[in-house]
Amino acid sequence: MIRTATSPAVLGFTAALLFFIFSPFLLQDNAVYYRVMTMTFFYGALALAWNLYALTGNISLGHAAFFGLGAYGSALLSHYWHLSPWATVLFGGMVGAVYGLLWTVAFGCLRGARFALATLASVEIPRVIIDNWESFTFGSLGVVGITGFSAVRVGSVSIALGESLKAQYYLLLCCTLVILLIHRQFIKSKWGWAVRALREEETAASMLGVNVHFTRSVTLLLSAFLTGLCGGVYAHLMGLIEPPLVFSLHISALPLVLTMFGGRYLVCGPLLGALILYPLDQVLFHSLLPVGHSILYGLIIIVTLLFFPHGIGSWVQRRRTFS
Amino acid sequence: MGAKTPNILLKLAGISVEFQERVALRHIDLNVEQQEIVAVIGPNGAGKTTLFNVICGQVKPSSGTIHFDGRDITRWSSHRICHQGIARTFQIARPFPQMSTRQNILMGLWFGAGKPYGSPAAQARAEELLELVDLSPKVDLPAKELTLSEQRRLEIARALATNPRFLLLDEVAAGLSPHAIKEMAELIKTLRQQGLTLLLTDHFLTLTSKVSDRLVALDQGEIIMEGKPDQVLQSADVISAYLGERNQERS
Repeated sequence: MIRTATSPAVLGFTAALLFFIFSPFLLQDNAVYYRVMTMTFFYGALALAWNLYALTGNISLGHAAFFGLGAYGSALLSHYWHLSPWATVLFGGMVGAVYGLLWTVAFGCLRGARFALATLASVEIPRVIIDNWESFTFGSLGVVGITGFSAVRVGSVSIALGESLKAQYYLLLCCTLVILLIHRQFIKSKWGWAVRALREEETAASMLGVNVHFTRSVTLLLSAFLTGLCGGVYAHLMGLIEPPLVFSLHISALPLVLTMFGGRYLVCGPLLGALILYPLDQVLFHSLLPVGHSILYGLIIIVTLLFFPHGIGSWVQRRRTFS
Repeated sequence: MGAKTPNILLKLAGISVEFQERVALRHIDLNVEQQEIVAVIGPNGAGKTTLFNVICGQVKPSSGTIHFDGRDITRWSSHRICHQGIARTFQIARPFPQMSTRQNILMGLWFGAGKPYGSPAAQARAEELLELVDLSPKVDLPAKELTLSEQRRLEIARALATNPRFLLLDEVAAGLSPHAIKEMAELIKTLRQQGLTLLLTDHFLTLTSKVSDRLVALDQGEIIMEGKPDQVLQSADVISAYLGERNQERS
């Protein structure tokens, strides 16, 4: 059994969750809080989705490809077919997964730095195509006026997800919780052990009956799908996407920084990284250093790697044992 | 097929392996019978580990076929070969370093033997295997903190966890004390009594001469001699290829 009942991690998680559920009632209409926290949850979800594949030991520097394709897939489907964003974001996720499938075919045998470089380069292919296929994707002008999420009716209450910042805050909180749950099940399951075995010693894992290729491929597809889904959600929340925005290095690198900072091998690690770093960056550093605030992320990754390579989450982690 | 002969468990026919320009194995024919202990001997670079890698699907042969229990497994991937009942240890131990000793063994039970995840049966079997290789006091230690000899024993237990019929032990005696070698020989004999077939490699002959039924001498990727241990060790070819090297090392 894994000891979780009274661990500080569980208590901390519950306290944080209650805070995020009830804080809007205290803060009323504090637009800055909603905007910052909505994006915090969004980057937390992105980091969790990214980490699923990173747990296999292969670090991707190209998840912006899944994100951008998800955003464009969802936005264009909504633009041309006028489907509800609730349906098109799923399509966005699938577009991401299809590109993930291409990755498994093309770089399935690459590991370590060669894999990372290949993924970094692979972002350019969809970006250049979308940038130049003006008749279909509107090229560098981007897609504007993307339909927002339609209102959701709960009983007699209508929640305007398209306009209300508070509603968007809760939407992203829910999305993040769902991805967190997937991340948790993934780590704690037999599948998670197979992934851990691949990360620690791939040859031995294969000789113990772990299907290396299948495990890696399915994990990548899941990670790509969820990242594509995040891309779709982003497109409909922002209402505007353009290639440099959704295929940016920032989208690929930020999940890595947040996850490394929070703790790669912890269930809540990537989310913890987002909850600490993103508000800190937006509220504090953005006002102090409006231009160079992203230096913060560079510094943090260096400090993290030097002083706490397992992330700050490992401070609160109890030793997990099997009985 | 026609490869199945009642007592032959593993049958290699005409196996060759080439790495770019270099020939690592040349036309190897080898049969291993049920419950036999066969040792592959030879100097460094003779192709012993490559032979193991070919049997386990980690290196694909450029020609030839491998039959296991009558089934052609020549181009199968390692996990399928494991599920057929072949397990191995590595020349340089490859434990999962961050996992505990017990977790290392559970990996073999869950993925190799298909024991249900989290089942008490798997836990109980893990305890038995830890007992067998004398690692019970170290169950919760991360594998990276074990000594070399303990890591080798852990690898054997982990391989046994996959419930194999055929076990390949690569340089299992290397770096062990004379006492530990004696214990290893006992363990190997016990495993055979339990129905296992074993293929070993042993560079220094310390273990193989004690336990094997048959020796196969490899040199430069070819089998130069095969037979009873005494017979092989007295062959002039083997002495010049192999023992000659050992005498040089001694002097």
